[in-house]
Amino acid sequence: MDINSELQKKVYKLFEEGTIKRFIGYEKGSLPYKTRPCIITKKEDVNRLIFDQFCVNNLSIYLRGDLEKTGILANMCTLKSIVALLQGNQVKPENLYILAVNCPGMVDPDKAELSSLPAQTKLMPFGYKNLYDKCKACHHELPKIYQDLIGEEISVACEPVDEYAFIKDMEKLTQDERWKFWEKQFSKCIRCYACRNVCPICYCKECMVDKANPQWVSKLNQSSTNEYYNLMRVIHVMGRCTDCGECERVCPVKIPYRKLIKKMEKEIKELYGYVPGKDPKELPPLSTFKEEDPEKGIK
Amino acid sequence: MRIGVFICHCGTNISGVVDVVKLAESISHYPGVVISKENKYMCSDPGQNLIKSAVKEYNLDRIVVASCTPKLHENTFRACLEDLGLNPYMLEIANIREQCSWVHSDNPELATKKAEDLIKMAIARVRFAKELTCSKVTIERRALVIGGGVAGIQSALDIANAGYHVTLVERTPSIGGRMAQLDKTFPTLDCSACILTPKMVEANRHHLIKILTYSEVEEVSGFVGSFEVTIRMKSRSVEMKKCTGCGMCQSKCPVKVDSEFDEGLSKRRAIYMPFPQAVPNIPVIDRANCRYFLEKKCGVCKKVCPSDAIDYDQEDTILKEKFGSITIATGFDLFDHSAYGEYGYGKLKNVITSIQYERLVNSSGPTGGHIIRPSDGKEAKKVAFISCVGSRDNKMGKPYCSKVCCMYTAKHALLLKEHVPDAEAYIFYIDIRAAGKNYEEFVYRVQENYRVKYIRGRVSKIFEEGDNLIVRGFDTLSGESIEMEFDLVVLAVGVIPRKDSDSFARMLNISLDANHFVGELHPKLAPVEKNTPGIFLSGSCQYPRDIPESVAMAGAAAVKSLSLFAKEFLTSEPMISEVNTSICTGCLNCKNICPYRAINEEEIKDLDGKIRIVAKVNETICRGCGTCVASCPSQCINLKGVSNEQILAAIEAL
Amino acid sequence: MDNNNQQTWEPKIYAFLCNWCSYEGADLAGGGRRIYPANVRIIRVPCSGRIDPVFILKSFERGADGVLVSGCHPGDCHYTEGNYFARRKFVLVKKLLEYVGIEPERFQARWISASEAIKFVETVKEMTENIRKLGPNTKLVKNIKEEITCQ
Repeated sequence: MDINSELQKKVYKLFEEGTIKRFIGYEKGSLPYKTRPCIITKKEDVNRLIFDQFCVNNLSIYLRGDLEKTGILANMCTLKSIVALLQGNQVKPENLYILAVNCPGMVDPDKAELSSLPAQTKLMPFGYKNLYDKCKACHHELPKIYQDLIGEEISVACEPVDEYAFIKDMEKLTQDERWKFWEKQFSKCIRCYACRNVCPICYCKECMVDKANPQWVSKLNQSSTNEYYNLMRVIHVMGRCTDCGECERVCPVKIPYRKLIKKMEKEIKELYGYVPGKDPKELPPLSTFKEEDPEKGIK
Repeated sequence: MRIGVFICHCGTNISGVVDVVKLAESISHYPGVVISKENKYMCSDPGQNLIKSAVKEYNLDRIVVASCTPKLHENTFRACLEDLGLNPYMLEIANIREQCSWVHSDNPELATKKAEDLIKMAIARVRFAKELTCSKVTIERRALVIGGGVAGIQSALDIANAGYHVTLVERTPSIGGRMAQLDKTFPTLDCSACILTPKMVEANRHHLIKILTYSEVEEVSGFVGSFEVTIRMKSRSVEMKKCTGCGMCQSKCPVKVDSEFDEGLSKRRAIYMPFPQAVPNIPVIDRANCRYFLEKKCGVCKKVCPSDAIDYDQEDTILKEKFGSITIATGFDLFDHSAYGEYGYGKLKNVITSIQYERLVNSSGPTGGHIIRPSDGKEAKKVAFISCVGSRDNKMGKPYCSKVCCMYTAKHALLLKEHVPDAEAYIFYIDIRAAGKNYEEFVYRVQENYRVKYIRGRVSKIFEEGDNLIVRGFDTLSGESIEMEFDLVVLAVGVIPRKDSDSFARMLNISLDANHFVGELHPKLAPVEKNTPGIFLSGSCQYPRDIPESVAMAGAAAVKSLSLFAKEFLTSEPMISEVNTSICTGCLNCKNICPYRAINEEEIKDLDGKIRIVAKVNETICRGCGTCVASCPSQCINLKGVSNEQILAAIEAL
Repeated sequence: MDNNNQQTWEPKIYAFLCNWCSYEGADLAGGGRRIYPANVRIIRVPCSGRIDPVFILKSFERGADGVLVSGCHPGDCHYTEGNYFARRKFVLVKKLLEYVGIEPERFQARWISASEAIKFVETVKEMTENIRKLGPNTKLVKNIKEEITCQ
């Protein structure tokens, strides 16, 4: 059975049994090779649902607020974000039906030569090299928080790449070279806040950057305030970010956010042995401590 | 906003370095500053009068005092504001003495500049000052003591003797605890039961003490002054009001199981009192072993009971009560030596633990005080005592010293010599730790007068040969290996936390230390307090303690309860956290972080009628550390008096 | 402070000190009349746990040449645990700042007890000297004049 009919059949059954009142998934987009999130509320609509290697949007952001019984199609990144949402008490597990999918990794349209491929929406091998960087580094271990699972098990054709390779390269640079790099990146920022809006863990009711009293960040679009804003965002999400890469994907000026936040992820992993997006019962690293925590750098 | 700035010369302490007059002049032009004055001694009466008249004259609503450290005179100036009818927290101190004039006397120019910066920062902070008040909470003047050992009994007595109600909860059928099991006590060799029993009786007779034995605390909520506690009184299957304690039932009961009190060296019945002096003097039916409950047969106890006190249908009673304070006196467990392969994995019959030995030497114990070995009942003539079994051993995960073993081992050897004068006693030790009143002298007496042989070194192997045990070891003082034959080996097993300490801590929502003992608030200055206000510690739940220490802690813990009860009401700290519920996302990160467990969840109704969960700070518990504030992802908690606005304003002031 | 004039430039260091240990340590340095450079501006907070990492960024943005954060030694926190939470934040912020290219000398975290006046003095001396060598901080610093013209 192909994955779409499996998906549609399962969701149809969920509606029929009354397990869910709505379902969050993907449907075909208006352009070839594009999909878009969709929310369906009746079983007759299940044939809109699809899953392929272009379903890159992190659907967990549609889980905010007080939900009635909701089903969600969760790829790897969505699943990990749901773990973070559960850690932060942002979704009630009893209102959630997670239909996980054995995630094959998503195709980066910037990498693939799409025009040379036939238009189709079912799962197909796009080749390892065309995947998003985050997918290339993915270890394919789904956090066990789902109620059901679809899709064939993924056999990884190629060993995951070193997810911290670019960080190690960056660390070889001198202090000033690094600053030059980031200064250039941040100077592109137009403060559209797309990175914030798409971030699954930016669930604050009122964002720090929007606060006027006290004003944490100046609203000026000036290089220093942009640097400040972007670093503040890193501090804000460190330890909670599950590396879904949405901020980087949606950034209109292509600031390589993952190069920044992955650094914190790496440090947290090395210092505190914490890997995000695994266990909803685990406390995020900044919400706990051990007496014997390393304190290199503090004298 | 009308700010007054008052700069102190502190004699010449400040003005000798900082140009105070110039400073007062330049600050007076600062936005928001209505008046800026200097004075020789701002803290003196003339200085304070200057502030008072300026506040009245210029209608000031907040003031900055630039003077010595706030640690000295913050309260002086707060009182000054209070006299004026202003809120005492509309004040900031700029520390221009300790942190400026005294340390920058080499460069008056830079010092003056720094003083100006410090005052600017204080002005920035005081702009965002808010009126703060304390809230008052009533106190339930009743104490709960968990654990009926000597520490718990003493705490209960001390509180009750001061005139307050105490409920003493004990898990086993009788109070008395570990001390009731002991024979003699070091270094005085008082009979343990002789000094404990009067206390047990006194507690039982006390009109303000309610003893709940065979009971456990199941749930604790609330906070200092009003803890709501659920206690489960397990069914004894014996009606306490009817039972006279005649003991007929236990003599006729056909079931025999290992006695917990005698550490498995004797048998008790299924209906039993743990020991003859038990308080209350009323048996319980151990339903897990009773034939009536297992097979619906027997019923002998009911038949023989002269007062018809047996009630097989009795059910657990759940008690819900309010207490102002909780004292934890849950005591300790002992290390299970079967973890040691070199000591025979607990399988060698004639290797016993120190607490078993206590029962053996006790004249009311299973052998009537005869030191006989378990394998064949022969009197032990040559006994090895091995210390530090499950103490000071990283390999076993017990890095700490159990503190009491050196002393009781010396006592054990002495008692051996007294019971069996021709016996030989060898003690294998690492170090002798005898810090305590008359402890060192006691050990010396054991060595010199009783000729107990101390061998410094660890034992590497114990094994059976024939009827006897061979102990192999190394004498580190003579540098020789030793192999000796013994009738009996006594292991000084270490003191460990209660095995259920983790779940107990979760129930009380308190923290444990690295060794899973109940951690104290401060290792030096608050050893009997928990970081949760209103919860106090007594005895070995905190760390291995001997009897005098446990009793002293019990008194100290009682005083903490009493000083709480002596207050008319509890006042909260004014500078504490508050949640802006309109933007709280209810992630409850703060709840996980709060060192005092002062934050809980609360359901609120939004304007649209939807119910959502937000964090709520308990004002009486919060101490105002602000860790939650700096950790809130939504910046929706703020610390009153040291708010985000104030700190950011200080940063931006320069 | 006038940061633009290279000749009169003096390093500006913000110090966030916990009320119970480090602030007392600084007070003790005063009581002992121990001279140290007048470059440090102390901000008193109840506990090192109170220090929001954003305060550190904010300080740099507002022209600090260095930031010192200090609290009680681990295990000695007046509030028992605040400094343990702070420690994780400090370690991570330090890593972050170094990663984006801000000189490590500019952000320092120290445990200073109420009795360690000398440690406080030495820390301030060391930071001031190191930062003097580095020169004024130009990274992350908001150009206030630019803001004024914009407004």
